[in-house]
Amino acid sequence: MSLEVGGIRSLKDRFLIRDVLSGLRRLMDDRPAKLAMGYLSVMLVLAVIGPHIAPYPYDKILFSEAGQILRAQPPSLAHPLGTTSTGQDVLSRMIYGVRPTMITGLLGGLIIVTLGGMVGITAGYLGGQTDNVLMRITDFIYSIPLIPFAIVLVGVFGIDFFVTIFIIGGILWRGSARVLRSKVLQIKQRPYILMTKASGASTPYIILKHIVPNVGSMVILFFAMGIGYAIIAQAGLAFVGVSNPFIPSWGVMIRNAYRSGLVADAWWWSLPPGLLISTTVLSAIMLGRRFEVLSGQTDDAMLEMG
Amino acid sequence: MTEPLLEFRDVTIQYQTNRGPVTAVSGASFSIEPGEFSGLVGESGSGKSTLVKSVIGGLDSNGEVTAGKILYKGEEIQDYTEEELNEKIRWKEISYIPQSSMNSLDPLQRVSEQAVEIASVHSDLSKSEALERFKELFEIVGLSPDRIDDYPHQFSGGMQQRAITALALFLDPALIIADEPTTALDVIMQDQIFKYLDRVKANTDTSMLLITHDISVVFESCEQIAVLHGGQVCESGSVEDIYRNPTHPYSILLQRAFPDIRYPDRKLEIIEGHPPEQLGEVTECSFVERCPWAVDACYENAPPLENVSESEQNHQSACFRNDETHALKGELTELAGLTDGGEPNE
Amino acid sequence: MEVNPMNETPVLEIRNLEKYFTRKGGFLDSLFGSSKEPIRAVDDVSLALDQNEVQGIIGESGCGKSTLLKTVIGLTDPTGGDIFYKGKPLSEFSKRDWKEFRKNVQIIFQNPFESLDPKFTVRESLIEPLKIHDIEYSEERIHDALDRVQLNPPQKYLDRLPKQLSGGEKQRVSIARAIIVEPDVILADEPVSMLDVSTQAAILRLLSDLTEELGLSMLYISHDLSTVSDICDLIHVMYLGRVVETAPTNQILGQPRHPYSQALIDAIPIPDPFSDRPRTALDGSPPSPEELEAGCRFKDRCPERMPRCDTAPKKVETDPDQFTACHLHYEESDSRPNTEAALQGGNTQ
Ligand SMILES: Nc1ncnc2c1ncn2[C@@H]1O[C@H](COP(=O)(O)OP(=O)(O)OP(=O)(O)O)[C@@H](O)[C@H]1O
Ligand SMILES: Nc1ncnc2c1ncn2[C@@H]1O[C@H](COP(=O)(O)OP(=O)(O)OP(=O)(O)O)[C@@H](O)[C@H]1O
Ligand code: SF4
Ligand code: SF4
Ligand SMILES: [Mg+2]
Ligand SMILES: [Mg+2]
Repeated sequence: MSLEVGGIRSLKDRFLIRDVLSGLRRLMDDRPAKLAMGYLSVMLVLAVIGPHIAPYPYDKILFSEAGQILRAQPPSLAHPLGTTSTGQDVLSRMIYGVRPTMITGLLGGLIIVTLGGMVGITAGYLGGQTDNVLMRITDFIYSIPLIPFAIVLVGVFGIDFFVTIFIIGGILWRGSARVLRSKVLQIKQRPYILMTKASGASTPYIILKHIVPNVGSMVILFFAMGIGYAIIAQAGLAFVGVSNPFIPSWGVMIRNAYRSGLVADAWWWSLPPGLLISTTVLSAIMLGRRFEVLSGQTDDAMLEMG
Repeated sequence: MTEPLLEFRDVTIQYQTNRGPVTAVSGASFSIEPGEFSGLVGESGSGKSTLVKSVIGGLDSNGEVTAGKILYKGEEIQDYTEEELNEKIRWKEISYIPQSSMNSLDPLQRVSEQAVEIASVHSDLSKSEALERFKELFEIVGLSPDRIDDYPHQFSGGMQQRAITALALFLDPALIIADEPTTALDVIMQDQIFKYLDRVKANTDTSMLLITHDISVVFESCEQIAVLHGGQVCESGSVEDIYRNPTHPYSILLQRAFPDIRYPDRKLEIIEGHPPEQLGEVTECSFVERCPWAVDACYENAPPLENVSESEQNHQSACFRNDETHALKGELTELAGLTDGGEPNE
Repeated sequence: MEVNPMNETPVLEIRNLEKYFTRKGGFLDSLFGSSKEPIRAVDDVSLALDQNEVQGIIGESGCGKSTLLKTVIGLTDPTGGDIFYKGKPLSEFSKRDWKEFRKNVQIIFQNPFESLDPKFTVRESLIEPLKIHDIEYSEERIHDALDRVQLNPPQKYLDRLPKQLSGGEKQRVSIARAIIVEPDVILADEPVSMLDVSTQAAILRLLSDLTEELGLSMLYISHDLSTVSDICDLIHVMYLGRVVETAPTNQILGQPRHPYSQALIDAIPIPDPFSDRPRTALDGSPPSPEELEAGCRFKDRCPERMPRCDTAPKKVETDPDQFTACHLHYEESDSRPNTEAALQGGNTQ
């Protein structure tokens, strides 16, 4: 492959930079996108510095001056979001929870697009037998229900935070693979691809230089949606108990609130994590969606996932 | 006179580029009357597509109508939002056949599905009525009606263009804007489509704005013509007037550059040079670099579009030397079939 | 592969080329073995292109012109017949031959709106073929290519993306991309369809200069007879996958023998609002290429149709260098059945 040959590298880099920059510029001009970006940036910052600014360690059990555990206290000045049934500060737990959520989203989303992209693009471009085999596999993955399967796997590998992320990514790539394949099937018939073929370019070259950039906005959309889906899936797994309970993710919080039997009464405890999960997921999906709309390649019919 | 169906008043359109704002259309004015077929001609890059895209809100994101008005049935539409355009203008009032019509069909949907979708959004035809009507139109544009369920890639280039034409005629719009609708077609097909459009013209009030680089098509099928050069309307009027008495230097030279199958041995002329790249405000005649008769004044201002003579109604030309071009034309060598003053030639 | 000094072998030769598209029938069809008839996009086409020669192909939309070019350049495999490049069949090409071929034979696609990668600037599109073939290049070479296709000044266009170009500008970038590697053969599919006459004339002049300067040969598809006459030496008229008439350009225009060629010429618009050219008498469109009956393929629309048109006409030399496949031009001299056409064409069903 001639990818290393002088110049092509730099050309390719320029392209990526150009695409990303122009994408960002367009997003900055768009109010919904700016809102979502702002929100997610705050979350990212919290993910990094959260533990340093949280008022209390997340697992610290708090006592009243009288020496009693502060069980399920409603919001107060000292504890703006109240405390849990085991006397922990909800606000601190929320802030600590940003990091695992962000890691889940980014890593999960990354696995989803990488697997989905590789499978979808290869199948679509090469066609024939390769396509058949890859799509059979995708169909098979489609038939797997996420949560029961995760329970089984966790039984095998143990409850590890990262294992759950890999399980999520390892299943949810299926939607992006299908859609990317059909997009590639379309693109590969376009004259500019045929033209490049006719000028003697190799298959890997065509895929990297022409196919990938042209499905780029869709890949980004799937990445963003992947972030959202991974976060939801993770929360779901945490809720049914298939997740490491010692990592203070928001899903685990909801589960704890639920198990304490105080969901309805201690709203300050159960509501915030649910709310934050929704807003984070929505922002991620919205950002991806706006990016795609703004790069002018929308196709509502193609939004299928999971 | 009745109110024009569509009117451009001093429309200027600019694109923002990293070399500065490019003026693609400057101060263009002309109008289309109800029931009239009008041709917009001009060389490649002269701003034809830009001008009509501004009507249906199809300009690229870096393009903008920076001055002037576009009136549809008397109402200003240049600032319409997407929603307003969809609701009030597109398909029902104005249907648009884009220049890239070959790839404006959705590759993932059968052609018939696309027709049904348009019908359901913009009309109250039932699904079966829509299909029935669509089949009829397929017949008219020369496609076999049992191919309506094909996917676009199963058609040849010209077949896709015909499918789009069928879609444009689908909802009986008041105005059809067609950007090079027959470029991918052979002459027979082109002729058949115009044969049908002749019938549409005779039997309905539908108007058409036909964009093409092929003057012969306009001369044969339209009543009015506007000639664009470098973003300026240089001449407009009835096809007869402009054939017989082209007044703007560009029109004069253009006519001489045109092949005519009746005179296969006529030597065709090339209009040398290029239109200028118009960065920022345009302050000269866009033809000045190529015009054999340019004078100093031509560099200083853009010439206004003015009536050529009292006798020829609506015949306008934008040249500082309008009054002299008739005489200047005499300097050019004679060409077979083009007599000076251009009496109809048979 | 070297140029034959004697110039005897044509640069490009096509013999009895066939390209059928099979449309997959449904599951039931395959169960009962009744698969659909194939679409005969190209059916028994032969031609030989010499060095310096420009041949034109004209014909109705959907008659198989683009498919012919795509097959010749190896983008789809033919279902029958042979293609030779400098005497060597494509089917026997080694990897190196392909590389040579890919550099020396360039194609210009019909649809300029999709011929350029939307993510590539004009400069990148032009550089790409040079990079692929490891050709050294300079900024001048790129400027020169744009200059030649009348895109002036080049700097105006170099950093634009395709969507920032007008239709004709895109088309010219495609042409520039094809000529920038200095090929031997150009396969051009309606390369100037979106250009005004003046620019068209300039580009045709460029292309014919190149045929002289560089020994270029070209297959040139167009539906516009009035401009092919400027550039082509020989014209093939195609109808429904087959060549129905072949003749030197001026003969086709002056004395078309095939009724279809005549109809094509009659349909050319005339730049004169006073001419009363009647609209074409032909109606409808060619039958779908899947459901061809035996005999002349034009018979359903032919104004001259006779009973014997139900057998396939053979190609005869109606005038010097002019070959026409139509019953009007030869007598069924004896009872000898039309074996020649039947054997060669295979279109008796
Ligand atoms: N998005 C854009 N950004 C910058 N310049 C543009 C853009 N779109 C078009 N242009 C320029 O504006 C001018 C007019 O373009 P337009 O598409 O209107 O031409 P046209 O008359 O339709 O030509 P053609 O017959 O070739 O289609 C051209 O010079 C073109 O390069
Ligand atoms: N991939 C395909 N699958 C099935 N049929 C096809 C395919 N490509 C082309 N055809 C059919 O083959 C025939 C010839 O198509 P082709 O594109 O070669 O026509 P053309 O002569 O180039 O026409 P035009 O002037 O309209 O471009 C048409 O009937 C078309 O529908
Ligand atoms: S205004 Fe001047 S430059 Fe322009 S067309 Fe007239 S004479 Fe020529
Ligand atoms: S063979 Fe018969 S049907 Fe065919 S073109 Fe000749 S006269 Fe017409
Ligand atoms: Mg245009
Ligand atoms: Mg074609």
